Amino acid sequence: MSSTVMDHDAGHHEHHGPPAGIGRWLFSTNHKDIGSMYLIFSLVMLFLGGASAMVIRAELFMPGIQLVDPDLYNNLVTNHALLMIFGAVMPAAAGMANWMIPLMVGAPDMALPRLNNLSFWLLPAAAVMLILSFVVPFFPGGGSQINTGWTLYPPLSLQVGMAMDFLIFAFHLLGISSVLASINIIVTLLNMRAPGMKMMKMPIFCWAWLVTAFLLILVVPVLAGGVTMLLFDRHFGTSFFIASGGGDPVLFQHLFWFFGHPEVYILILPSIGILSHVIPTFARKPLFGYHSMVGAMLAVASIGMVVWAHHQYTIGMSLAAVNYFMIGTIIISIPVGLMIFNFIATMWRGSMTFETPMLFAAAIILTFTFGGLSGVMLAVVPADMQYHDSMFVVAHFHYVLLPGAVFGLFAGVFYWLPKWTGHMYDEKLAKIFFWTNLISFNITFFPQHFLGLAGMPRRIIDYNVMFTEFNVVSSIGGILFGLSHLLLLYIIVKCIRGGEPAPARPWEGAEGLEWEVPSPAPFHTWETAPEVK
Amino acid sequence: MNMQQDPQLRKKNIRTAVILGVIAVVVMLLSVPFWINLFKLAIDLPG
Repeated sequence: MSSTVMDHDAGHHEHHGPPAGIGRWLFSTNHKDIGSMYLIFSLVMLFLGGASAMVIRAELFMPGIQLVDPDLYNNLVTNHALLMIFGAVMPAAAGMANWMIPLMVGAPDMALPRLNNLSFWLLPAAAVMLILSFVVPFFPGGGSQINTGWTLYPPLSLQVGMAMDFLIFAFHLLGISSVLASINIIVTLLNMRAPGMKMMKMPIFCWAWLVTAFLLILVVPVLAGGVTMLLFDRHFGTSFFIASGGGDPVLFQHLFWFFGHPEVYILILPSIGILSHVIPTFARKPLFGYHSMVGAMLAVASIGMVVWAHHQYTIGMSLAAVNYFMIGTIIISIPVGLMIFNFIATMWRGSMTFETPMLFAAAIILTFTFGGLSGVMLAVVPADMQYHDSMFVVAHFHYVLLPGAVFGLFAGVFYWLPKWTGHMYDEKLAKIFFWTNLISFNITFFPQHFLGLAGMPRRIIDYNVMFTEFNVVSSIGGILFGLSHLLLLYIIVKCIRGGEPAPARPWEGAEGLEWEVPSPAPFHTWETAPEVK
Repeated sequence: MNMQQDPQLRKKNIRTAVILGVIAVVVMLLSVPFWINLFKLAIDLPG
């Protein structure tokens, strides 16, 4: 990793202040402003997605149908997943990329600033379409509610009303936004690095985003093609996925999961990049195995692209095909395990302190590994035949995605908040947030393993009374988990409004160009490129 | 607002972006049997 800086000019350009008024945000080409907008957008979406999750858990508190009708329940399940994946996690990671990549590589801005503006402003438009897909059925003539889940499988998705069309267009906009943002990130990392910063000296967060951006470019267009075909089947008389017309609904599953499985790594890799900075900082040791970390990320991305059909074991593939997908899936645990071992080796005999980002990092290692282990169980074909479509799967992917993506982003928020705001956050409140968040997360999702193993199906509003106890526990945890995020909001707002001034390098063990600029980072940074030795 | 980029760097950035954009479009077109089926549809159209 780069460590030596010859020259920097941060702070020399404070007279180039940001433009005033709404135009600053609408027409912004500044990577920090756009990064902030991404982060605020994702926070709003986190609360919307969280609200839908809390309604789901409230409904599942007791057997029977209490709060919502089955159609609305299915709509909420779909909405929750889409808001969280496309609205909260991906934009949050993109926001951090926008903020930190130019600072980390010594670039004055992203390579294509206007494209950056476009990438962001497509998102609110997509969010409007996404929210319309949820609410349109409540208006006269709005058609039926979306009941497909985020996978949009036909033939069900062919039968839904106009809400599905809003959703398809939301996917298109989200896809364009993601691809444009990815192009910008790749170009920045390839062309805008400071002199002396070779590829293998790049901060790991940048490597993580380089791999993620390539993944996005390779898989998002496939989803775009798939949903376009769905749109054609719905309105233009084609039969890509209609069996009676000679099509095949399973084709859509392959197209969807060719995107959907790498999407998991798209969500996780930026957080792995964040951990690769947080752990060395608070262990006060360099990252163990920089090269192997880069190799592991490349391996995860490339193997992750060719194992998509492990989501489809039950569709009746040939034995050879399921064997291939099973073995490929289990092989992914090798590079992922390597990353975890690297993190542990970095901590080993380090002078560790446990500020909030490090607490999240430690929690991620434990809980993400647990999610990975249930993933190996699901990868095994005969076992998956039992677990498929049960609450066990819900527990598994929440144990993977909450620690692997969301907790990593929380670690990043607390790690970089002093740099973004110029103030230290309230450490005591942040630790309270960490513990309530972690404990309530486990109360919510751990019992769901038992529910799934006992046979409770996912995506069903009602359940057998034998599942009541674990559902009560899970729902109490879920409500606490949801409410705990209000504390996160309070901590962030408090930190933005004031607090102890943050020095340029608020963490003793932090290294990298981003810590050479003052806190908060000035509007313009690295107008003269630093030289890295 | 952003600073002016060196024209050569700007050209290089745009060139790299266009290459990546083309890759994305090619992936979309090649990965999907969209055109094959559209072709079939065109053949099956009455009249």
